[in-house]
Amino acid sequence: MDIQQVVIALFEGFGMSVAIFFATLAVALPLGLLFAFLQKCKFKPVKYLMDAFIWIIRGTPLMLQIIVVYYVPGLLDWGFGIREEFVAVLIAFSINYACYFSVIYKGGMDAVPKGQYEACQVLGMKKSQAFVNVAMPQIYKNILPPMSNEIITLVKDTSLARIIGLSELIFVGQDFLNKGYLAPFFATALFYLAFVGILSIVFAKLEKRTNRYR
Amino acid sequence: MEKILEIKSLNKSFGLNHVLKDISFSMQKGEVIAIIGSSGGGKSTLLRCLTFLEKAQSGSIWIGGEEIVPSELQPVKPKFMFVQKLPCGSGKKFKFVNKYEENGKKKFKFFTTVPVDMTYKYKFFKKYIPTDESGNPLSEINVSIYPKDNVLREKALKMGLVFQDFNLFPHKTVIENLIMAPMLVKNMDKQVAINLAKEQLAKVGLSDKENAYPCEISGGQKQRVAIARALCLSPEILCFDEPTSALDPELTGEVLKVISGLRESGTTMLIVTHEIMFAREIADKVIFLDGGKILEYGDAKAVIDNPTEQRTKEFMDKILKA
Repeated sequence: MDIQQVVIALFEGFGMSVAIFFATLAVALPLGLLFAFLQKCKFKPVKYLMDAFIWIIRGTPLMLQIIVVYYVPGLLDWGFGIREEFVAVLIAFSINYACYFSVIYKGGMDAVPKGQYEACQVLGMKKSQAFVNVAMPQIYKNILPPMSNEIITLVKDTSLARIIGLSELIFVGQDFLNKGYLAPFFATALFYLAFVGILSIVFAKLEKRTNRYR
Repeated sequence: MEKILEIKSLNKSFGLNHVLKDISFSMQKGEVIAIIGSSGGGKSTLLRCLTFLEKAQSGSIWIGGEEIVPSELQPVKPKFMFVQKLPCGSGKKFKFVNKYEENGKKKFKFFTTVPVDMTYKYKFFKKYIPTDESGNPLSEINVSIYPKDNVLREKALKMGLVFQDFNLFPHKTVIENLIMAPMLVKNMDKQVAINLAKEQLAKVGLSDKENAYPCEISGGQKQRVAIARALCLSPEILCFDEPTSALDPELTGEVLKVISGLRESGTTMLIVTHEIMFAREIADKVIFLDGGKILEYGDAKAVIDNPTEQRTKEFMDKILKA
């Protein structure tokens, strides 16, 4: 077994993991904000629907959701199926993580004191101006620690994509394991450790920047 | 003298809790009025109604000779009332549908809360009939007509408010706190806004703190920044909602000094306060508010030294002994 071959294969798998990671973040971060607004909607039926949806998504395993997104449209014979594994994984991951993010966003919004909005109103600001200029920076500070937690979990959750045959890092490692090579499989841990290490440093920097106030 | 603020029979209730009962008073330009009274008497609610943070159910508000919130008699034929529980502390919210005819057309109107010059008779499940205090059903009710939000926002700039707990923006420096509203609301140029803010900061004696964050300055300084922030929009009337209640006696002094300074420069002020002796010194007139009603209204020294009402006497005795 050529070591160079192994390293190239592992890096290819890691590339796929990173792609899933960033694509999921790109969709789930804004989608989570939308979910959070729907959850705070004053029209009650929308709020209840959103609550039920979040209950279902958070209450079932992500692995099951990937399988449902990938296979169920085809099985039900709706005339379309999701053939592309990456798209199926992206849909399942984005919706799942958007639900978790929305709860974090909501907590961050609720933690902004009512007095801040009142001060804005007395100063004649529109609600949108108050949200962008006053509430958002405070929400950002509030959500940073729980968000970093969730995002680090996402790094490792990318390994679930192997269930529908997407060749990400663990999938590649397992391939070697099946051929009887143990070391490459365990070496995958180094990739995760390095990636999470970089993320931890980035989040620590971001948190430090918000520490200058309050 | 020019009448700058006039309120006529203002009523406000939170659900069944009738907080303001027929409040009427007026204010001249350059006058300082102190509102005193025990907690829960409606002082803060009155101030919040005047700065449009709360909407009154009936009564009219005039600011600077302009009727900003008119009041109108409307026929009442209540069909249903919905009782909605609000988050902790806000009590219940009453919604009711008023059906009436205008130019031969049937119209419905929803009121989020029922005007309060009446009591409610619980008829059967979730149906209420508005009645007067002796229990007779009402045919007409007095309703405040608030303008649309964007109009109201513009008019509300005539009133400035300083909060009890400052409510400075924690993520902005002192100077950024001051220039934010003029730049966003009045579209002021940044340099013009900064000059204005520096001028106001000098007025409250904090020129050296302009680049500090609110968490880096003391409570008294925070309150002075809050006063400067309100002044930046040059309101016609500056309202204070217990400006010194969150401060210790030493810091209270520096805030009161700023308020005295504003009086010297002729600012019209409405001050809710527990500092009776300060009110006696600074205010032209005093309003004693208890149980949602104005019990006494008159010259500051006369009211505080020689109250006429029994309730006011009790209150003064307790305060002055403490």
